[in-house]
Amino acid sequence: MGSESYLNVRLAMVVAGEDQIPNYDYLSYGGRGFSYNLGWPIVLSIIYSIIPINIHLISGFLSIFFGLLSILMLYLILYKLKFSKLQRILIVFILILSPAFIYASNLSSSVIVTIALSFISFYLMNSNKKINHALSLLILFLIPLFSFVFGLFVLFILVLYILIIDRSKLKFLIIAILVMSVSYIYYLFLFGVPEPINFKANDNSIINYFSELGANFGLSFFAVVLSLFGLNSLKSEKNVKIFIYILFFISIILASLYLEILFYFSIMIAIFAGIGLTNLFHDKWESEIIRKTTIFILVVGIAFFGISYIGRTINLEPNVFLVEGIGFLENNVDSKDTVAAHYKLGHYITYAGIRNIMDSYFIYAPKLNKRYVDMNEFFYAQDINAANKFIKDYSVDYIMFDDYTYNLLYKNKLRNTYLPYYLNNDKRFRIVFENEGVTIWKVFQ
Amino acid sequence: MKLKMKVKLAYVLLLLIFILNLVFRISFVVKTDNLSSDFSYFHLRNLENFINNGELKYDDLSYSGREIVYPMFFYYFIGFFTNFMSASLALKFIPEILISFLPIIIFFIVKLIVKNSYIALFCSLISGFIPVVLQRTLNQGSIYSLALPIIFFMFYLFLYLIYNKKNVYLFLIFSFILALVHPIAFIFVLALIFYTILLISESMSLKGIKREAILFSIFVITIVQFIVFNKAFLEYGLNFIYGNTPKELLSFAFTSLTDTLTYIGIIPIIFGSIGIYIGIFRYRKNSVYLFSSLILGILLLLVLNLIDYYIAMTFVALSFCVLTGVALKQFLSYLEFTKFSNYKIFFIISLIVLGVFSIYPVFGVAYNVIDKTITNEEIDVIQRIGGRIDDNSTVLADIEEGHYINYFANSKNVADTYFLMAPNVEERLSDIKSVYNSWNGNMVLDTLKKYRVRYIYLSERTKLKYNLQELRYAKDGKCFTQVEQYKGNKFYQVEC
Repeated sequence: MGSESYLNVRLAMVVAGEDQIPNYDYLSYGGRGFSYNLGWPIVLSIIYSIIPINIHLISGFLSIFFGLLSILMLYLILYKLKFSKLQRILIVFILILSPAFIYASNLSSSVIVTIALSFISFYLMNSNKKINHALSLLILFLIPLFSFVFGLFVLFILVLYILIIDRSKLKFLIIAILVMSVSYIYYLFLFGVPEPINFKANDNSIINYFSELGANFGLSFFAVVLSLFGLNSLKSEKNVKIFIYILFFISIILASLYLEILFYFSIMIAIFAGIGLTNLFHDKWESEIIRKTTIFILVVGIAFFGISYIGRTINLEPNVFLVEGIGFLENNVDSKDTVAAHYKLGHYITYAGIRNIMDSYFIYAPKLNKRYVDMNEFFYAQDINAANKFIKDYSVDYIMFDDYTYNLLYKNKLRNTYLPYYLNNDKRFRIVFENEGVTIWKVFQ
Repeated sequence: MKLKMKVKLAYVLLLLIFILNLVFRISFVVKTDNLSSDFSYFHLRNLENFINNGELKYDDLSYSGREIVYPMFFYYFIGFFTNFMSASLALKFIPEILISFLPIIIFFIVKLIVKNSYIALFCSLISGFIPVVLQRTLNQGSIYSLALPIIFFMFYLFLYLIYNKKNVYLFLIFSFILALVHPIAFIFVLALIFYTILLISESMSLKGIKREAILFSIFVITIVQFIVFNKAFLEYGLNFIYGNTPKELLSFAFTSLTDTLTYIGIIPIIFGSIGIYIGIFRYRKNSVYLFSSLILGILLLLVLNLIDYYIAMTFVALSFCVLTGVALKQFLSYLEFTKFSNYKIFFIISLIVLGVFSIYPVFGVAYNVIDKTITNEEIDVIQRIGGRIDDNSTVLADIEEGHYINYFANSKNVADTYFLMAPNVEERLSDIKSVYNSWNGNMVLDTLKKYRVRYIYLSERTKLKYNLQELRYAKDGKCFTQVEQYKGNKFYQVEC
């Protein structure tokens, strides 16, 4: 599920096939340095070399395993922090049914691993044994190898937590910063400073934050409302409140820049929603019937949307039509050919063993911003010369659209004034594959 | 004893207002055999389908095939009456009876706020004859005939809860029902949210059963609507509220102040505005905050282009009717302290006369609605075209006549006015416009091929809308031949 899974599986197969980490990826962006977060692909390739079964299956099992591990660790942390039994159960219930967590546990990506590692690290950090502290540091060192961004985010939470709540661990913090910096320095040394992204990869509309409104891995609307109750009725010390409010505020800002932060944010939401729901249980209301019905409705709402989201995950990309399209590329297109498609399809194209022009792994991508501008000019080309120039510059052999990317580019636009007009009318473009969701054109020179 | 008599007289008068309202409506409804809007036939098709085959989930005819996501409660309700009468009769008469209860609800709301039965009766009378309400509900089998009374009944229950907590069960039940009736239930939620904000900003207390009722109804309505319209929410997100209606059809930029005055009526606007001023700035009345919140919520939706202008005006007009009561109460109390107190009866009579005269323009609205109703002859022409179609081909009609094609010709249309979950609405709307406006037959043929159109319907309404007498490119008679006609309503067959 999700295009990132296809990237990770491909990288794992490359690493497993070559028995070492290669220096160059010939497919992504028409060729780029092998500058990926390799933690997850390496884990997959190691297990694959021990148990040589389908790598998709391995990644599926591992994701579920790390999902369960995360829940267990969260429960233990809550226990250690003296949350009541009802609170612990409700928090875990809300987290299990939260769309972001369900998505993360089904995705073959480093997200769920970093969450599990963060929990383990936090749990170990709060023990009194030095060996546990050392293990905690080791785990912190591993996190950036799985995700640069999550590594920074975890470090930020750690800094905030130790500075505001537990200053006795200042020494631990300093060592943690040093340990985690090693990974970043390694990448900076090897690949230099990544090009800043000058375009908006995420649509910041509210729809992308709530799964009930159609987001692929958004928050649960009702959990968010309940978490507001939880925050409102917080009876903690002043410094804990400051920590929580800062964390919430920064997380919201970061989520608007990097949507994947929602995976971590959904855990915070689950914790405070659990607190809010517990308070609703214990509060005295003037009308008992309204109180009971409200609680019932909220629990049913969270359960319903959690369960219906599980049903929805079956229809998340790639759908059967896209899988057929990938199959066509894999079997009929030469590996030296280049397919022009929206960057959201990029990982599927490279999974089929074909070169793409752009995909959604932006860090260290070559001429990222220029490619983005060029691709947009191509998709919205209003004269054939602009389209021809792009085809020549990037040696485009095939053009691919699926329903999702087509709508993303042309919904509510007069599509017949852009590239689709030429694809339908210029004889140099011939459809070589078409099903209900995907169309692939071959470009004849 | 005197008080009891007074109360009884008030209820007799209330019953008279109800009967007057109902008779007024029925007298217009019986003037025609047909329903007065294209969308009525969407309801009629759904209702007949529901009675015969169950819920219509996929419609082969609308948009030449599309999913239907529509709340079924209305059809369950009307469906019950089809045990005693035909579906078309039930859809003609039951909504008229339902909407006639609205003045009764307004009476009880105003009475609760101002504690004066006669002022409440006056407000009730004017609320029964609001032009925009009539224009949107008369002889149209409109779902708002059910939704509006329920929403205002919910407001009444909410206000009444503070005085009588025994009504809490009724409030709970109607919260569920309201959520099932129509997405417009969100307006109730929005009003409660604004109400909470207003009370907090004015440092007024919001606790006890009132706070609990607000929380409950916000949660219930939101969750039930999310569940019922799950698919539509996933497809459109928040835009679901306006039901995927094309922006150009939602825009209120072209409406003037005169339109607003005409739709709402002068009395509710003048006294309603005074009521808001008095209620908020002088007496800080809770109930006035509630109805002001409703107006604020509606204005927000209007500004964001998330609500149909006429539906918005319906809610604003009814809120003004309630607030008129507040203004009148203060006005009459104020009179007591002036030298005009001896002439109070003169003012009251003037008000009643003004109220009765304000009903007069409503006749024009009602006649207009009935005049625009589809005639039996036009139906006959559309049915004849339906008889000609023996394959899967499509009939192109204006978007406001798409449901006629579905219902009477039992044929596929290119587009109609039910936009939720409909495919490529903007594109189809633009294509339909181009077919009627174009001079170039070849370009039109390309468009028609896209939708497999074999017949084009050009009605009198469409001619007026697009300012044409006939299809401009059909004059040479090569590819477009006129095949059916009644008066100005024509069908063209596409031959190329």
